[in-house]
Amino acid sequence: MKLLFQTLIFLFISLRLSAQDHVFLETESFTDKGGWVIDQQSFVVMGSSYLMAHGMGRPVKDAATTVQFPEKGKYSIWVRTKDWAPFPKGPGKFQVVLNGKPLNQVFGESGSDVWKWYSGGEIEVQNEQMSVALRDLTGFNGRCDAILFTNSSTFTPPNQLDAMTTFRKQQLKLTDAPTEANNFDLVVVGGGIAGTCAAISASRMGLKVALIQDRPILGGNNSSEIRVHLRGDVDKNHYPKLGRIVREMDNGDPGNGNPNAVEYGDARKMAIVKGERNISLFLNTHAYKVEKSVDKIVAVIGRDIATNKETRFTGTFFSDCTGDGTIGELAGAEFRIGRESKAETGESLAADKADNFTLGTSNLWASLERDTMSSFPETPWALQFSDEYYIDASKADWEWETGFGNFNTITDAEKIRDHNLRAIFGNWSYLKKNKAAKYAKRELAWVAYIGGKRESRRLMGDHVLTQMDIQEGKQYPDGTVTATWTIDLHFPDERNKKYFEGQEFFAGTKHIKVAPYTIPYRCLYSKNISNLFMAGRNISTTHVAFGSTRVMRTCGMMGEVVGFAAYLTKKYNTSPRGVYQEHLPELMAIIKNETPPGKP
Amino acid sequence: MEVIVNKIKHIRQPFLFCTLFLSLCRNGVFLCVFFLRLNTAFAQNIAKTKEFTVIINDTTEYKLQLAFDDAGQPLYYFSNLFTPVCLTGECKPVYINFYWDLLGNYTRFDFPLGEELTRMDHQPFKVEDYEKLQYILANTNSLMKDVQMEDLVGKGTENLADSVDAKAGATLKTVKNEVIDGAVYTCYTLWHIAHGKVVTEMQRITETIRTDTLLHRFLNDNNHYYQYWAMERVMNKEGALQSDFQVDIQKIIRGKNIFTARYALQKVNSQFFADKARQRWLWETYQSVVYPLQLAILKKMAILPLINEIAEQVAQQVGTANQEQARLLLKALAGQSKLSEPTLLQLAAQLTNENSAIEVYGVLEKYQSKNRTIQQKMTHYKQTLHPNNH
Repeated sequence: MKLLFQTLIFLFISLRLSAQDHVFLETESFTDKGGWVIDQQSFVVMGSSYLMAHGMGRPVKDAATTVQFPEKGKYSIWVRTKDWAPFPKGPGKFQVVLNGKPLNQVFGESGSDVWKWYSGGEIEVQNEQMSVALRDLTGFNGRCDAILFTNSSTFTPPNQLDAMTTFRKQQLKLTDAPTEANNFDLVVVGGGIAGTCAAISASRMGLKVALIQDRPILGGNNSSEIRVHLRGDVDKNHYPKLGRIVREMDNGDPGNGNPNAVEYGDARKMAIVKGERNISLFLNTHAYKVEKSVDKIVAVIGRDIATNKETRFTGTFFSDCTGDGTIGELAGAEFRIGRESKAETGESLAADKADNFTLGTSNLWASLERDTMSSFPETPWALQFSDEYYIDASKADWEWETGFGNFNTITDAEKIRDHNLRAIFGNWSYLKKNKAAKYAKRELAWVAYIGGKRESRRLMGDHVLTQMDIQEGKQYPDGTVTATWTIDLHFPDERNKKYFEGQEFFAGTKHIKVAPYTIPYRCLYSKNISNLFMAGRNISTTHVAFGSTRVMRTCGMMGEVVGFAAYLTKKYNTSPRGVYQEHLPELMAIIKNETPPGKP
Repeated sequence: MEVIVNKIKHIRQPFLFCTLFLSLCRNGVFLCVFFLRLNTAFAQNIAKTKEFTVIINDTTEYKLQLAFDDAGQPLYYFSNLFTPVCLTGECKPVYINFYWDLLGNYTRFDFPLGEELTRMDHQPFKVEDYEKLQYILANTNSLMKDVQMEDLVGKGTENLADSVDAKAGATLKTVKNEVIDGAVYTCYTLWHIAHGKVVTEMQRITETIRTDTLLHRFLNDNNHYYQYWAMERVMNKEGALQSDFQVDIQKIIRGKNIFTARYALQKVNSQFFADKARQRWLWETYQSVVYPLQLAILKKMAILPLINEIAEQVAQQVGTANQEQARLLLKALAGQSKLSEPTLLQLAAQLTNENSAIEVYGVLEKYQSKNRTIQQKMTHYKQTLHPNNH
């Protein structure tokens, strides 16, 4: 009797549940993105990508899709968004348009910078199919994560991250069994210069490689989405063989923030990778989960930043070229973030006390001279300038940089980017209005919405490169990549700090010149995750040493070495550490372009 | 010694003297600056000038002119300079006029009739070279500030040394932006004159001619250096303002320059805003200024005893403010020794506002109002809306 009663209750609840229909739309999955762009940079804190109207002050074209409703009837609408610049109210205003008719509410100007669901009222659905569009009203980075239609008038979608993540997964029908990609010898996560070079290098050594990149193009900071030029020399190499792949990737030097996207050679990089038979390229895929067995990574799970389909990549070896050390962190690899103290490292350039200070993130931009004069909107929500202090520049260079310990370079990535945008747009508005003689005919040609990040986690290897290694020019037996860049540790520019204390967006530096030195191979694999390599800014160095190793040609060569070492791990069925311990002469022979020594 | 000169007849004498002086110096690199003459053609619209002798490098002196207008008000400083630009035994003469504002901030340069600058290869400066020179001289933070001349150029040349980036601690590109290659020593010499010891000398002289009239003029000038300098002098360390300057300070707070406005607001002490009229003025200002200044005003209000009328308006504003503004508005109210009933009623009305209800409740709790409406709204909030919050 009791069982029957329980069953009836269960059936009753189930009926109630099934009666509650949700239609959940991820905006990044809209079939037509119009002028909106996909931003996945905050995936680690939101669990999703979102669409953003990056129009540099001009409203962008509608993003649109078609929705299928389970049945006609009354539905409540919820829109997940934020006011990204609530000072006091932001400019990122947009409307939701249903079957061509905009809802009354304007979103994105709530005064709160927390991602939340906002009620969009109720509608009567008279036809199961409906077109849904996002209409940008300002061109100033309005953003929308998702839209929910529900036939339950009492249901409120969750705002807490955990609950929202669960809800999102349910609605996206993401099961625990994603699509299986093939099994790979080496799974490279991160398609910046380091990751791409690692993948190419390993592929050319005959390994089966997966290259996973969270953007639609390769190149990372050197891609046309970010436009940082390649630094570090390849012509002073201790081992000239290194740098060959970097040279192939190098499209010439257009400087930082060149207004011409083509200069950065996205097509060149893509063509090189597409030409590699052994590389399976997975673009638009954000790797956010790992599976482990003891001290080994077994698989990484990636989610498509547009479709939200998930893929599982299994592999023998993995290389964390994410820059943020994302895979290492997920796998429990030992890492550092911020600055070590002098006492800890013995470095004269180290901080007196350890802290969370990191180098910042740049959103570069450029303007072009046009034939006619133009205006730019007022930007009261942006940083404010006056004749006493403004930046007299028609384009950005590396100095445009935010996040010197006042923001977390990973979890506050969105805020950092947004702060950069507030500096750029605020300054530009000031120049256009007050410095017409120079700027009346200039127009913003390009502003990066993807941040060019300099520093985040550093995964610890068997060796931690230090200032002394660099300045004393220590040549370890496993010294591989030659680095030449100065110890280049940025800090907030003094004047900028005076006017924007705690909100600095402009950097200074002091280049400390170094003689060419080599980076030991032991900096390129994790000390405690036995099948994890790393290349790029997240290798095993101190903060000070990172100031020199972080530039992209140098990072690319690290990738080349990882590819060679991965080949040996497969050949001898050993670990990255095993290569150092047992097969270093062979690794060095490959790097030296010599015939490998005979096997003992 | 090779001598490079443009207008020998004008400069021969001082130049020979300089050459002689140089030969006495063991160090081949030495800066000599000599006053030549006042050229009235470059001192337009000035009624009179006053001349000062300025010593630099302990040994050399030149004349600094302070220009006055018809009313006897100081206008700016200038100097008609002759300086041999010398490097490892090679010298060339430079005639140039420098202009500074009344606090020694370099403003511009020009030349006596017929004079010009040349590069080391005798090529005259082009228009863009002069534009760049102005950019270089106007940069108070130039890297030339901290480096030695020998670090910048190759031996016996005016060209950048191969190792310049290492010595200057900047990239070669940065260094190139801050000097004119082929005229590096010229830039270096001129920059160090423009920003040298003469600056403190000008500040010292201006201090000696300070009057209330000058202070009023400075406070109302567009030159922010003048405004800061005058503010330092019309307010004491505690921010007490001399009464004659109240209007000037109010103008600055409502002025176009957000940085001087913020500084004035932060510097002036709360006594300034004690009277009703000025408190109303401050609240009106809050309504009209840009956001960062609004926050500065709210922070100021947190330490002011607010008059009832303003406190009530502050409470009213909580509902329409963003989170940060609401937080500061409530902080200003929480800082009062007591709040009027209309103010508390206004606040109680905000208990339905999700964004700030918790903080509003906290302020209301502090003042323990016996008003029934307020108590009812508080109870309603506590029991029905947010039973777990308190």
